[in-house]
Amino acid sequence: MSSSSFAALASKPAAEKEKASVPETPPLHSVQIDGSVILQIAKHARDSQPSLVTGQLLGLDVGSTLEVTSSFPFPSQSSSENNNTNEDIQEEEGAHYQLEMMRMLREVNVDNNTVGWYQSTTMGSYFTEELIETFIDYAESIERCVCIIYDPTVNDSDGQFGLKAIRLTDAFLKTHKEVNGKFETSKIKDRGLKWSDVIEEVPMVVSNSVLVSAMMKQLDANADGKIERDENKLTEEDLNRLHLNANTFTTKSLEFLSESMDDLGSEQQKVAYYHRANHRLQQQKNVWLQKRKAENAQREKSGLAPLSEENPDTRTQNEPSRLETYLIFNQVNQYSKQLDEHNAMAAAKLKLVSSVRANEQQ
Amino acid sequence: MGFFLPISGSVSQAVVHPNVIFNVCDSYVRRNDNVERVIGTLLGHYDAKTNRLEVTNSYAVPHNVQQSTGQVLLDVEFHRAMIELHARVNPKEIVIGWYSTGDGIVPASSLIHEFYAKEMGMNISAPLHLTFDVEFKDTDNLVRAWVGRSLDFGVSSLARRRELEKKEAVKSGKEEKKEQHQNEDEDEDDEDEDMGMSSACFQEIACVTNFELAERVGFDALSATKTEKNAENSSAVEGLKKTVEKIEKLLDECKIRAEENGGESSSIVVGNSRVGRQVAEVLRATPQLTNDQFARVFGESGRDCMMVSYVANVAKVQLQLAEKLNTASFLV
Repeated sequence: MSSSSFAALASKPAAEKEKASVPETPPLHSVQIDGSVILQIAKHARDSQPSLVTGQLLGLDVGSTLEVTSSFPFPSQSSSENNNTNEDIQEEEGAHYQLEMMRMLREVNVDNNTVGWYQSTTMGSYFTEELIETFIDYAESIERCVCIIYDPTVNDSDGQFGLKAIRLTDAFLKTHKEVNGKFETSKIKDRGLKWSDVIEEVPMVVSNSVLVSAMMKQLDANADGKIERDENKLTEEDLNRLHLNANTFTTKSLEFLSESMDDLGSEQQKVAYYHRANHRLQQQKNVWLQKRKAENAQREKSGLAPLSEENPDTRTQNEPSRLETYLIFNQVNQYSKQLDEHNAMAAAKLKLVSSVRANEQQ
Repeated sequence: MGFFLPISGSVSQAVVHPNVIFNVCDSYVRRNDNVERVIGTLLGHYDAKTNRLEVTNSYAVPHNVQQSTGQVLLDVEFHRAMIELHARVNPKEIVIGWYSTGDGIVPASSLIHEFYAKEMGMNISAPLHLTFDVEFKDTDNLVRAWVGRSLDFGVSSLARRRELEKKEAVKSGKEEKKEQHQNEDEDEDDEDEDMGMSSACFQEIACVTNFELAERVGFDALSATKTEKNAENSSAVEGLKKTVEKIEKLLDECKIRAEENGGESSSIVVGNSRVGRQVAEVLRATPQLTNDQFARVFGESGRDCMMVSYVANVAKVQLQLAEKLNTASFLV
């Protein structure tokens, strides 16, 4: 497992994955998502901005692709909080809603097989322990599940495709099971789990039924009063791309990046503290042991039975979980990747404007 | 029985959002073997300022048609349960009408229309009916919007009384679907009786599509049958390149048009003042910068860019170093 490099977040060697998963199921190569699901997610996320939303993905697990053919939104937390219900009831209600919705959808012949969930995010900050927990929860009931992350901010500021399908790597799942959710340095080291092995991105394929495709093309052409769709028509996506001033995105990203760095620092301080405390404890124990040994030697000399060498002091230091650090690493990586991409774009746009101007002046 | 407000022209336009189109097509593709058309509920809101109905969401409702009698049985319980579920996610969206595939209005439409009018109560003047021509018989009008109005002026009091009776009947047999069906049956039987006085009359209204959301997430991906999305073809700079290419082509086209007009004075097209003004406005919006100003503003931004890139990459390299040296767990 240790051979995967840090850059291989998305393209882990297939052979490696096969080793980890059960041989009957082929490795997951791609997620095929329906256009309607994309729209549903985008709509749900945009309607309830700025709060973040989640929902369920339904679809089919076919060979090496996971088809996501439908989705439905979960009611937002805030609205149910207003009812002043306690958590249990809320959870129960949520489960009831979910079952009811799936029953309804089955009646109109929608695939009602859960394949994962979606959630919206801002600025690509989604590496949280809750995400991992949800993944683990899902993994208990369904063998393969994905999480689709929708990021409207990336979408709007750069005109990029704001969706991403992610899943936990098999290596991580296996380790999680083996260490029972307790990520301690020595255990992780033995298994060679790296921070880049926690979450992997799955390539995404967008598919639409032929009917939808025909409908959309024709309707779009009709809207322009033409018979066929104009390939050169500028869309909202193009206009988003041309926004020259996207400094807020950069500022926010930098802010988040430095915040993550601070988190990382404090996390490492925790570890350092643990090591110091542990060291001290060990020293104390050693001193005690030495004393006891000397005492026993004395007793032996005077013909008394030796005292037990068991230390009555059973204090141990709890090692902080390393998972948090790993997640922060991933998060930092995500921010810097995002910043880098965004900057490449900004630089290209600046260059574009400069050259347009130079052209003009000639 | 249905009591539509007889205000004419209250809704001038229906704006259809892309997910409705996707949803309708999807439900049509997933229809049962023996069913020829699908119907469903439309959700959205009414914009009083512009007199527009925004159709933002939809869901299919199972129904079946009895060939012998021409009766339509709508699963009312399904419809009501779905409304409830939808309301929990987005309470702002209310029922504004219904859709059906096929082109134009068929006799059974008025029955379903009556039902929706009743369901909606007084929310908006009259339910909207969208028809989706999934067989592409008339490519110019794939989606058509209709507003139904009741013609039952004289019998409204009678209708209302019937309404009340019906409501009670519905209440008593609420829980069981079968009874619901029966109620529906009754509805339709009644309908047949009073056909003369309460059949809805459909008036077509303008229907436009709003693809803003679809365009935001990528129109091409949504209109093609299959698109691979991976790191290579979705990178931001690639996208920019495509956009610029598009603009270049459009500019070329403009040039050709302009030359055509300038060359032959006989075929000069009469200028469109609206377009002219818009062009002038756009040109005016371009800031006039001197070379110095330009160099300063853009030079600064350029340097900022480089700086941020540098910071981002330093952070990334730190992480990679930590991983290589296996010191991820220790202080940097």
